[in-house]
Amino acid sequence: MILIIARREFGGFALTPFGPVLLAFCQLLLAYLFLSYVDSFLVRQAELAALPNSPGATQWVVTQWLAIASIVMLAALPLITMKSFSDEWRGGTMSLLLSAPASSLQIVLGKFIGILAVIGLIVATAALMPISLHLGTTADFGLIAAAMLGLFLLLMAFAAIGLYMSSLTRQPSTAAFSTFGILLLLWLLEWTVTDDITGSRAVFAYVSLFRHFQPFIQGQIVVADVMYFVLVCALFLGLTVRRLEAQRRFD
Amino acid sequence: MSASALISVDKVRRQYGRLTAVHELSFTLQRGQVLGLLGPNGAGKSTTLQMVCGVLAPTSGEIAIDGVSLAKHPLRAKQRLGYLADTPPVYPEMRVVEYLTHCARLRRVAGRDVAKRVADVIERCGLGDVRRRLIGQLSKGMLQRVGIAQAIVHQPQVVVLDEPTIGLDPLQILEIRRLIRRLGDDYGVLISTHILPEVQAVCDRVLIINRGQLVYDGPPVAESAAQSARIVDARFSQAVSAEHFTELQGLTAAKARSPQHWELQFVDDAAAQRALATAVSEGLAVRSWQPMEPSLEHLFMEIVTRDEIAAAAEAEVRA
Repeated sequence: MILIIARREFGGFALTPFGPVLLAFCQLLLAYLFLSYVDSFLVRQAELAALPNSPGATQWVVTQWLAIASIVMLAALPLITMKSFSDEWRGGTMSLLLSAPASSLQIVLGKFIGILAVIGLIVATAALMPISLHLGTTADFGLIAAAMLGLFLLLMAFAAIGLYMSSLTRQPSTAAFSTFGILLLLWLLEWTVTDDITGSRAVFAYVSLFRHFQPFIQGQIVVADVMYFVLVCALFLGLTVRRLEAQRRFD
Repeated sequence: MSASALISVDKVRRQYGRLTAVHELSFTLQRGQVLGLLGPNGAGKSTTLQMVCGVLAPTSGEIAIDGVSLAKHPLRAKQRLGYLADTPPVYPEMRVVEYLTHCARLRRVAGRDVAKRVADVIERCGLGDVRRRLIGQLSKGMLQRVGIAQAIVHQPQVVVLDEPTIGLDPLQILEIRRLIRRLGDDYGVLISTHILPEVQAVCDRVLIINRGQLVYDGPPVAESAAQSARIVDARFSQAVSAEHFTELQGLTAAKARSPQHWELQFVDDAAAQRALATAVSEGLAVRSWQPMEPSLEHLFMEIVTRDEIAAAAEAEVRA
């Protein structure tokens, strides 16, 4: 049941012109950014090599590239999740799901997995870029794998938040913008955190999605960070289930 | 509440905030019946159907589908129903056959049966010519057929259709009604409508609701034909005034539509026939004399206006 709903969710994205166009633009932006970091590495190669503990090509390019790429995705992800529930309500197809023998949890998980498939596609195609470094040098595949896992987890958390926002409104544009607002806020929280993370700053540091993303792009997989992303997903998916139940009862 | 009822709705109430859309509604639907839910716009028809299909939860009361409680075992109960909401729940970017396949899977049709059921339902709803077309390109009539196909693809015991002929042209309306009539042979069908002739055309039984309350539950024509035949639609070649009718025996009321056109009400059928003879013998030029068809419209208008008057009176008392 979950997979049937997931397939439809993925189809709704892939079959409309909107999906492929969005994916194409994401790739274009990511590729341009990637190229500019490769270029900057080539320019400064000699300079960097002279440094003690000098960064390799993979490290230099991937770490900086994904720090910016995550912000590009912050703008793109709300557009992927905005239609999830809003469009079903607006187009009247929600009655199909709600009258089908599927529980609210199955509906939410189905939609979430459908979006994860889209995200998987984005991450997989994005991963081809750092892997292409291997053509000119020896790529650090460990670092690439950790970074791509981090990107996937980050986008997964974005998707859970977006899905919840989409369940709150019938207007996809409202869903998109409120998701974007929340994600941007979570990103800005990072700015208030300096190296001194004590007291209330520690709370901001903990909540900031990006702080938990950083270790991944430096090649570290920390269990606490993985758990953090899983918990964010669980929280927002749980809220979405509650929202669907409340809609049946009170709307 | 008999155990064999396909739908049993027991004292169901539904509130939207402070507004009560449905008050303590109870009814049952038996196998092989087409039940029409009739009422003016905003009477609570759609709300009732949405509750029967589990899209909305009732504020209080019990609903069971084929004996399975919708509140306690929602998944098992929903497997027995097919639902077409007031707008067909279709994805415009899918092809008809893809969409129906998706619906069949969503309704838990076993994998090996899916293709066969989809082919059956395409045949049954006359969608053969458009099976490869994108749903977004279909005409409204075809769309409505796809909507009905989606509601029956999993062969449910109960089919619920919310205003299935709205926005269709007269030819399409006839086709859809024929389709619904045929569905009545195999399934229990619950339809809502605000179009009176539709109920007479397709339903075995009718529920009239007004302001969320059940005001009539019975056959779609008035009890006995004779009862309605008492009202006669009479047209005369010349202007006629009320004095002309004083001689007529058994006349209870005379309403003028125009000086040449009157609606006459008699105590019984025989009195109406005698009155015609009298009128002719007295030299009234009768152009037409037509006993009114037993009609749901009369019943409906009577009930709804009576309710309106009662509500107005109540409001006055309060003021």
